[in-house]
Amino acid sequence: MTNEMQNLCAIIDRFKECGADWAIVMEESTLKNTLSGFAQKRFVNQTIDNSVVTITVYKDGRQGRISSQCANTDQAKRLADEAWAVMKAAEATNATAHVPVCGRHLSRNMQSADIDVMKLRYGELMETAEKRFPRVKFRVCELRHIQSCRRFLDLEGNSASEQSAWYELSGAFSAVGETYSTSYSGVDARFAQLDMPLLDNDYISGALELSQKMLLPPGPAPKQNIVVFSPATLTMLMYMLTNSQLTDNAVISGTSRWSKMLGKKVTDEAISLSIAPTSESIVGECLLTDVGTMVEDQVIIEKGILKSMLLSARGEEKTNIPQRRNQSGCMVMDAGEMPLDRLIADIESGILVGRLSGGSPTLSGEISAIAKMSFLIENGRITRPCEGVAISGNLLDALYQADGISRELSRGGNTALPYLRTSKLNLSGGSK
Amino acid sequence: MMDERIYKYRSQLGEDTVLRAHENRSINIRYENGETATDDTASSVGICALTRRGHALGFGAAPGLNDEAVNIALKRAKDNLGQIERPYNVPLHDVSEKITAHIYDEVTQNQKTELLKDADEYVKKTCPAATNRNFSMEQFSMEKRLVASNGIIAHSHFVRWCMMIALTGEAKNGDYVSVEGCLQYADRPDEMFSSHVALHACLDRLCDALRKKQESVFATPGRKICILGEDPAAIMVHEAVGHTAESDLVMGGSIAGRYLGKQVASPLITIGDFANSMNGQRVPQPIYFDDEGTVARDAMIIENGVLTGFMHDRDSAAEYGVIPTGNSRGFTFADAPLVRMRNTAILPGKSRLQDMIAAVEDGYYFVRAGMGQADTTGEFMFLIVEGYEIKNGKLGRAIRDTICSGRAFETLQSVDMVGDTVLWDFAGLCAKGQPMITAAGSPPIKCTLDIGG
Repeated sequence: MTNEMQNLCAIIDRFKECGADWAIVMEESTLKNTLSGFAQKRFVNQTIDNSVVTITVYKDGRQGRISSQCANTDQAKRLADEAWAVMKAAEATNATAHVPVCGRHLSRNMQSADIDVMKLRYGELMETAEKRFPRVKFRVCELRHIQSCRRFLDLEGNSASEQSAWYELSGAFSAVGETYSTSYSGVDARFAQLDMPLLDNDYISGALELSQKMLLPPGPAPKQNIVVFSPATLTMLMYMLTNSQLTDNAVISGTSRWSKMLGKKVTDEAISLSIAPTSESIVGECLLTDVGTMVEDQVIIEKGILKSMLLSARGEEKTNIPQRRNQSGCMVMDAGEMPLDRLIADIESGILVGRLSGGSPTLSGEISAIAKMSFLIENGRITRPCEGVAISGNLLDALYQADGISRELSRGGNTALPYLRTSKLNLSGGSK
Repeated sequence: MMDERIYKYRSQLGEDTVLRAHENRSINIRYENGETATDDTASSVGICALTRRGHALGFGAAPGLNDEAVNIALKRAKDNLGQIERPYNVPLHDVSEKITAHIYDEVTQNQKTELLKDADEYVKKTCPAATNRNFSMEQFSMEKRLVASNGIIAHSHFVRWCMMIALTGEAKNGDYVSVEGCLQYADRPDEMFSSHVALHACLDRLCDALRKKQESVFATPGRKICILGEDPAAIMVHEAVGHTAESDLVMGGSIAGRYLGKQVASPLITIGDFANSMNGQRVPQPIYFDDEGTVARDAMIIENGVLTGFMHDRDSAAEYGVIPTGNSRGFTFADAPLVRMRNTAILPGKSRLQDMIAAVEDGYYFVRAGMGQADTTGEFMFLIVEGYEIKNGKLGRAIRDTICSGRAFETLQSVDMVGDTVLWDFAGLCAKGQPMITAAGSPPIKCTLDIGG
């Protein structure tokens, strides 16, 4: 038995002695190798490992939950005692979670970090980006390799584990002109292998190209209330929307507009949205939940009908609506049938929104935001930068009758969404 | 409290190295409509090392507080040297002192639960309009011991407490509207628990704000004269001024880099990032040393409207030929330090709030901001979750959530009155690749802003 499993066993044994109703222990260890560059001037290389044990214990409707490092069995017993004390001091509720750990042991893509290849790809990215996009300056750029291992053990002795490894690129940048710097942009992408230059990835090169184009002279404010959300913007909006409408507090209290809409039409029938950690579009996502069960893809909206919510076990207990089947943020929306150029072909004067400042919807779905990294659509073509346009209106109403969804999906390694066009939101102000 | 074992490595560090033992502990409790929704306790503890040699910089970290972790961290930092060439070298400033920051006690679980229960029952009794009551309480403590080859030995440990409150009620048209507030303590967390007077006063104010918001109207879009209250003004200072003056972002092209030495704000405006005191008073989050072993000093950003400086780590200070300000901090033991704000604030002016309101014919008073974003261009946007009309110098109806936006330097140039009292906001975490505890403060300011609908 490994040291880690001995520690988990020591914790579970302690809870058996105490007479716990249920307990589950998760040990998550990661080893990260990172090449970091700041402002293309300061570079630091990092090797970090960490191991965290998360303990959840139940007794008489009380729950205790703590997480901490755990180096040996003595420390494991102390942590068990600490979790027990937290549980004893907690408010009694109906907390219970008697779901056995699934017994699966998974291993994916377990290669170690290839530092030489990381250096090659990082240096190549900096060099090629400077040639192809000379105005773009990275504020920060990190290339990481992550090895992750998660182990689970429950009170009945059921165990599970998963091991995986992947590469991640994370960058923030803006284009710097003679008299003006653009808004910053970010790019986050995951890769199973670093088998090709990073700028060969359209998602990354597209983001850098867009940033540089923002230095072009800006156009006027759009004349029509027609908005095309980029995949990145749509991802952010759908993430914020589902979190405000479909999570515990909003659903239990009945204060969100979608809280009583399960099984009913909530969006245009062209919209189908899932949280799909097992999708082939997704890299490096956990396949076990935080309680040691297998994750499942979850359909949120299918052809406009609300099919499920994002509730916790407590939310399920309060509402009798099934809890979420993963803790993932891997959002996938079905592509439409129309290519982007046809989606925008009849727009005389609208806006392609590359990023929103703000945009978090209220419980009623109202949003208020400023368009950033955005371009005018003029006579069916994406033309000039157009920033500072205020976008307001009701996002739920806008989604209820969308004008169209693109055939193109943007895949960043952990999401896959298309462009979405709507004429139900109001535009005002801009362009700066 | 962590022991002093890493001090013995002081004489063994050799080259330019900083060794840090770092422990974070947090407790987060969410209490919703009379019952506990979540109650999470977490800690992380470990050792990290930051080593420089010539033009190379390496960082390594390992969990645990033992000799093995020290040796692993030091080895990893050294192994990482030289993988990428850095363009310049940085001298380590020679200090030889022991710096010990203040130490606070923590609070028992029962005290926390009682406070949350009391808050919920108080609102339930006094404000039936609040149909959805949410409270979240956070205790966060950070303890560091640090030794460096420049001779520094340092220890800091502080605890901060905050309770976030969100109340929701139904508006006249059937929509739901919410108000938010926060109680926060850094200096004396026990004050939060020994008497509930401050809590009840905060809840009374929020309940009143909710009742007004149930009758609220939509704001009129356009450019308006506004009183930006302490909370939104502090957020603007942090997001739209502070970040643009962090030297790594300046080098990455932020707008502040173009304006050093120029008038960027009204002469009434002075902004600093304060290390451990402001105007002779201790700031909420005192920093005495940073994670590169630099003794912390104030970084003045704007003085009487002129942009005078930035926040620096050792590298950027060398680049600009100035003394490092001690702004380089990592959030956990596993985080290499970055240039981060500490206590960033506008210094108080001379105007009373009521005189500022009286000076507005047609505008708004914004009391509290929800989420907000800013850009390295200085452009900012905040969601205003509590605001009121001002008509003919008097406060009017409450308004629905709206956005206000602008460019920081233009907004600060429009300031013609600055309030006489600074309030600090130090709840939440600043995000810049890694989280960080920071504080932002401001008096109310009278300025011009773009308002959404």
